[in-house]
Amino acid sequence: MAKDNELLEQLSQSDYKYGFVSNIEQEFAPIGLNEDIIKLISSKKNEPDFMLQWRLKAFKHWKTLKEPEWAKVNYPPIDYQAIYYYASPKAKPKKSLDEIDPEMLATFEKLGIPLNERKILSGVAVDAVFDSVSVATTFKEKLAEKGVIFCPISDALVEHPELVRKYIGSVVPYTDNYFAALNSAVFTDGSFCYIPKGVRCPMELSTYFRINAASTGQFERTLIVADEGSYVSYLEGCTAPMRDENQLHAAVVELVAHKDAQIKYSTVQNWYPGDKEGRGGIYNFVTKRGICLDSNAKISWTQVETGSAITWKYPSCILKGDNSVGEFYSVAMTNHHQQADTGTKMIHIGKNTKSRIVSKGISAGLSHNSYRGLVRVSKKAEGARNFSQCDSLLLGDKCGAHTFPYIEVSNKTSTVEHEATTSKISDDILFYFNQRGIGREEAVAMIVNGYAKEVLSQLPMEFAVEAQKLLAVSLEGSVG
Amino acid sequence: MNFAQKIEKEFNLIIGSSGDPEARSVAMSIFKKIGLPGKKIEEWKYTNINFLNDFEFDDNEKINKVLFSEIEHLIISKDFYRMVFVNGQFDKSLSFLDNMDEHIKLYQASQRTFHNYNHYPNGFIALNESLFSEGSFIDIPDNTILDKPLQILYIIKNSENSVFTNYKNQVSIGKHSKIDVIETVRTIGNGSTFTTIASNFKLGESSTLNYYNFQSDSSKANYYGYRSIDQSAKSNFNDFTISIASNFIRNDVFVNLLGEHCETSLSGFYYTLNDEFFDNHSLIKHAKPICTSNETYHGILDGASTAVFNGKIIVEPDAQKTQAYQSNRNILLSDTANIFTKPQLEIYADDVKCSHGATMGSLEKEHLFYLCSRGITEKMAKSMLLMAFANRITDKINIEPLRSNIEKWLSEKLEIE
Repeated sequence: MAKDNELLEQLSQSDYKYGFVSNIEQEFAPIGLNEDIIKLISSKKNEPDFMLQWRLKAFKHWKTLKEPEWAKVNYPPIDYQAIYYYASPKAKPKKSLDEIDPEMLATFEKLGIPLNERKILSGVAVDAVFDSVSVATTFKEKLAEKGVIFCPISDALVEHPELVRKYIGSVVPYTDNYFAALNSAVFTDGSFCYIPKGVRCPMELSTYFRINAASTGQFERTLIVADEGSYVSYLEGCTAPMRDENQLHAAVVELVAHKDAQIKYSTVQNWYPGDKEGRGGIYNFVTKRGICLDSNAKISWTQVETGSAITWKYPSCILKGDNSVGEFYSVAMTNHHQQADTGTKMIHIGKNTKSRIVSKGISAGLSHNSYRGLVRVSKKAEGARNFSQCDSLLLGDKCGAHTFPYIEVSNKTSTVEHEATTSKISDDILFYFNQRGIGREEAVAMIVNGYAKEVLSQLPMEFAVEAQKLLAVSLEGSVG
Repeated sequence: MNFAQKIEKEFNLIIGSSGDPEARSVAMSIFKKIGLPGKKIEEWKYTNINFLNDFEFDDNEKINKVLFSEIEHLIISKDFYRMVFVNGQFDKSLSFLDNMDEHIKLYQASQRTFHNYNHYPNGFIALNESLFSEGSFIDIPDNTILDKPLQILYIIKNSENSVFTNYKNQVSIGKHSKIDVIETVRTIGNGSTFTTIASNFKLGESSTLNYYNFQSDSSKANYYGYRSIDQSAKSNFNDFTISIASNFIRNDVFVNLLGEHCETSLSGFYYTLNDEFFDNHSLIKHAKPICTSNETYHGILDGASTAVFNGKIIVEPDAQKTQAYQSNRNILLSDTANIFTKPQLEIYADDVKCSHGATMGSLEKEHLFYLCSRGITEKMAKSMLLMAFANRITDKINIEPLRSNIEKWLSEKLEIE
């Protein structure tokens, strides 16, 4: 009951609550994008030379590419020269939390992120990325005891260059797509995580991304490597201030799971979605992909997408090892003028590989919500198994829900099933709730939560509650 | 002469002699601009039209007349109305129109101009519009129920050389009228053929069209079929596409539901073998409220064959109370066969019930075991299960002689004793 009251409270509050701007002194690289900017970013980070060369190659390749137009989203052309590619808090914080700019601490405090190590009880190790740079990583020492490396990727490039070199771009090469190429050229920070053989990561790892400065783009790169027999659960959260302009976020996430390893990657994406008239908001163009390199590996993506003006995101699994498993659980909620084109790719290469896709789309207002997925079973993938379910719920008569599932099967021993439904909340169901004294808005919130439960239950505890609240807030004003 | 030269030559021959030269020229200029559909176009992503590269034409080839005995086995029933086209021309002596003339108006390409496209969905349709040599213009007045089905036979007779023919049809059905049409394309000879048939149907209020497309042609036959259907209120359209043999088949069906209370059903069955390629694309556009559409395609794939299914349903903002269902089920019998399927929904209205499903798999071992344990050989059991799978579609065919004909073909193919 207490939780329900909280939900109600959230419902009565209005709009995006992370829309404030932190007043922190920041330094910017000159506006625009050219080789000098890339060199500047690289030198700011003291990166090894191979990284700079890689970035320059990516930039060269990016210049040959055209922005993709196939997604079902509309937006005015982006001027890539009108973006700051590097912005960081002026004084790079020291190792101790006491030395962090108090304004920034207050910011993360406001966001409810346990940067403070005193909050040991929350049991989550956090890497916080503020605009272009990582500002704080907690529990580093405790993780190091187990041999787990969890640090900003720019630190990893200095401290563990060989490890980074081995894996970076191995899952998402810079040639992959337009935004991946752009990210490879200009990425400024992100998290790096390595779990050694046989280690079960003792706590949830978590990254919070925050865009603060105006006219900046955020380009972070996350790389997670789980060595043989290890396990890690990783959380990602994102917020940004309310602005009238559109800001670009083009991230790349790479996951590598070795033999018997398991990676669970959860996202609660709550970038600023723009106002009711569709002004402002983040363009979220993200490439996420994981590879099960060897047998019995497992990668599981869970995402709750409520923010961003435009979402363009397809967390994928390449199931290369025999018996490996890929999972994708998604709730995508769009309201007002938001547009989401999201889904997954499951590429079955190894024998007896299994994948499961559960995607729940909710569209309200004038928004458009698309599921776009690919299930490919190659000739060698004997006995592969896939089950996909993508449902869409429509709230309001001006929104759209679309499904584009691609299924490609090339052998006879595999079984692939796909089902999708689209409908609105029927009057009968609402009547049932009303009859029992539950108001319309509350009833819809309950139905939506029930509808999304299958996905939300996959989230780690701390996130599940937050995600539930988020869904309710995003729904607000769309009912009745 | 290769394919490009052939197009050039055919165009120069036909432009002055028949049809509306202006419409032909416009279509040709559009074709030159957009070209043949390639893999870069989303709708043609999986469709390979390289077979056209191997075409070799010889215009000096003289083809003897087609005799009735040569096509007799293709005739579903001698009672049915029958129109026969041979190598791009109408053959009156083989046709049987009886007293149907009052309903059906057949035109020569030179005699009529109609339905100029506002937009060409792909290069083949522009090509068809600029080169079509013949076709049927069927106009059915209000309150007319055609007593017997109409079978339209397209016969291609050649020796070793390639043949390229284009037909364009238009069928208008008046209010409360009904017609059954059976389309059959057949090659007599050893050369490769490419036939394009573009048909436009206009269904009046409360009218019914049942369209049966039975595709069982030679291993060198290639077919592109385009059907566009505009449905008025309360009309009913049932489409059956049974593809059993051919080298290349591509069916494009575009249904526009332009009035309330329309019903549409698309049913398909395909059985691909060797290196055959069959492709079924459909688009159902729900523009008005309270319409129902139902799409069911079943496929069996063997050998190194490839099948493509792409069903798209668009529900426009006005089209409340829409019900749209789509299902595509496939059985793969070989490890070298490929299936590409994409059931697609684009929904802009909220009070709708839409769903789609797709499955790919092999025969269930339990089912086979069940039959074998009752003394049925494994081969027979397999055939029975496949036949049952096909019957889910063929059972819906209402014309008895056509159904038994198709089932006979199928059982031969599935080797049921």
